[in-house]
Amino acid sequence: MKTAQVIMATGANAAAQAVKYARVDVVPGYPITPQTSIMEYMASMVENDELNARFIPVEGEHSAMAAAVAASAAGARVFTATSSNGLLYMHEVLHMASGGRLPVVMCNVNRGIFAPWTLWSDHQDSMAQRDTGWIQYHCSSNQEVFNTILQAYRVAEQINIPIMVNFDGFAISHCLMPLTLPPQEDIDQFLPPHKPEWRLDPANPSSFSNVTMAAEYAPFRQMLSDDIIASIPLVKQAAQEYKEATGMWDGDTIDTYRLEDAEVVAFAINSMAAELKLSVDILREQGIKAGLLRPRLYLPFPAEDIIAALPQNAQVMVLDRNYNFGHPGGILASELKSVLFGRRNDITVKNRVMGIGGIDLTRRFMAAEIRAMMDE
Amino acid sequence: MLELRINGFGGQGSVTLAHLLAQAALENGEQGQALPFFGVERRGAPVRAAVRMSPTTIHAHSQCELPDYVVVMSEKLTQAALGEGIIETGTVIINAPQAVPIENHPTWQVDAEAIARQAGLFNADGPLINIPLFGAVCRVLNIPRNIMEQTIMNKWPGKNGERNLGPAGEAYNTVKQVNA
Amino acid sequence: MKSLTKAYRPISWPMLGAGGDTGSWRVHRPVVDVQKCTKCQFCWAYCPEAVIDRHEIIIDYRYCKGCGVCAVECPTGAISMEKEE
Repeated sequence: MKTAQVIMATGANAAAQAVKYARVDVVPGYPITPQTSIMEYMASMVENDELNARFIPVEGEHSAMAAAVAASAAGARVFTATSSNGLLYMHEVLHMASGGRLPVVMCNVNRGIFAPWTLWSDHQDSMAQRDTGWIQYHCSSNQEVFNTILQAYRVAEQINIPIMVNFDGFAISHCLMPLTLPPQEDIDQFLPPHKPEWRLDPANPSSFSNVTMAAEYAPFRQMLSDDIIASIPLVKQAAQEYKEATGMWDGDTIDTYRLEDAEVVAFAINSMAAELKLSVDILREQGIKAGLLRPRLYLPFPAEDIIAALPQNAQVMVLDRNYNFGHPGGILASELKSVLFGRRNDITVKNRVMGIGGIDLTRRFMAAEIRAMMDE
Repeated sequence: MLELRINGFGGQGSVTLAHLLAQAALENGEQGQALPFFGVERRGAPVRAAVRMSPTTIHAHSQCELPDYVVVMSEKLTQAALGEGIIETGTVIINAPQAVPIENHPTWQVDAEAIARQAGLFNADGPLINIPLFGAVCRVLNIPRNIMEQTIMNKWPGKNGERNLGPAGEAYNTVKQVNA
Repeated sequence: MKSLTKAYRPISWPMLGAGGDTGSWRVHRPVVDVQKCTKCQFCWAYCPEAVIDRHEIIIDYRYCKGCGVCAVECPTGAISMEKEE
């Protein structure tokens, strides 16, 4: 029996390794910093016959997603990746993937948005795609990127909804860390080949996304809305079965740290949430009962799991790496408040926006911010 | 968790040095992390990279603001590197023919450039100082010499790796603390 | 998951009569003058209901809705629209 192997890999390499393990068929790609290295890994894996897939270099991100949609409709398992303005350029076609109920899996390597230009991470790009009908995971480590991509294919192909796997540019994508690669046989068992119940096939002609009248259109949209929420148990099941197959666990819809008896709860996503574990330790040393709740699944927002996990009378400090324009704070805080309203009136929510455009979020800085928020 | 920051100029091999150190941590049975800071048009300009080593999972994903060790790739950067932050009694490792001891900080000196030149390790940018510096830093961090050599050979199997063993080993032996 | 049926995805399968009994709508019927017809296939290409045979230029009156597009597009004037009895 083969055993797992540990290599040193960047987050970008971790993503590419997962795509290889998923035995993806088609990879349309267009470079954009900091995502480019994923596509470089993909291109060389295809070139070296490590992955039996078709790599399609395209002339822009709109075309990358269009090619992904077409290949997925033809029954292929598809992967692509992008960042920042590249994701914004895909926006229209993202709706086509979700409305068309195509199980595309894409990595978005979080990067702030033009203008002015920035190369470094914040979460405005993925949050701006909140209403495109995609499921969104947000990862906090290289290993979680690898694990989540494989879980994402599992979930996407069960419910026919595309999934975006997000992680921070540079802090994850260019960070070299140990990566555990499970035996391929274990992954093959966890993620069987993609067998769509429908595909575009010249031998059995069908028409995809025809014009619909309101009476047909409205139910399609309702079903998409219902099924996105219905994906929550599938996300949990995928995490559980992945754990059984590989022994690895990053949380399912949420991930928590020292939360049970916490009076002050840090609430954040992505790599800053990993660093926050150290901030929690610092605060605990200072005598503050701190804890962490990280939504690993951002969309659908795991309302029930958050409501169940938050300790009584906790002060929740939402640290947003994005702006909710038109409101004073960030988007996560807004989502959390809408979930708690009328359900958990014992909870206090406070919010700060930080880390915009890659401002370094250190454990000491975030611990100090949380302390300051306690006095607000 | 041990934290280390490399301060250098773009082209001196700071990223590769960071990668080698993280890899050495793994070969040494620990967890390692290399997190270079990437910018735009950095060749010839000041750059930095974070390295962490720990027996347990590393959760930090920020640059090292207060590292335990600072590696100065060029002595011109010494003051700037210290200005970026180091813990009160943090160790400084400087590439220089001679180094002035830094008050309150254990200061180590290695002439990485001379070692690289003597070994004929060059590329278009000049001598490959990161290889001797890797040997020197391993010595300061008490990473066994065989782990240091194993890391080099895993990164560049065969002849390319072997060419680096001499200069890395020489730096491992000659790096010295100037304010013991 | 109640909505996980074949109908959750916007797919349609082309088949004869998929649009219903469209022939019953016809007020004027297109009639092909075989003497003038050059079999250029313009009518076949333009017909929105796909009821014209490509090679023999025979119109399927079960589903022709009588829109007259074929008569307008015919370059030799071989198709005339005649009032239904």
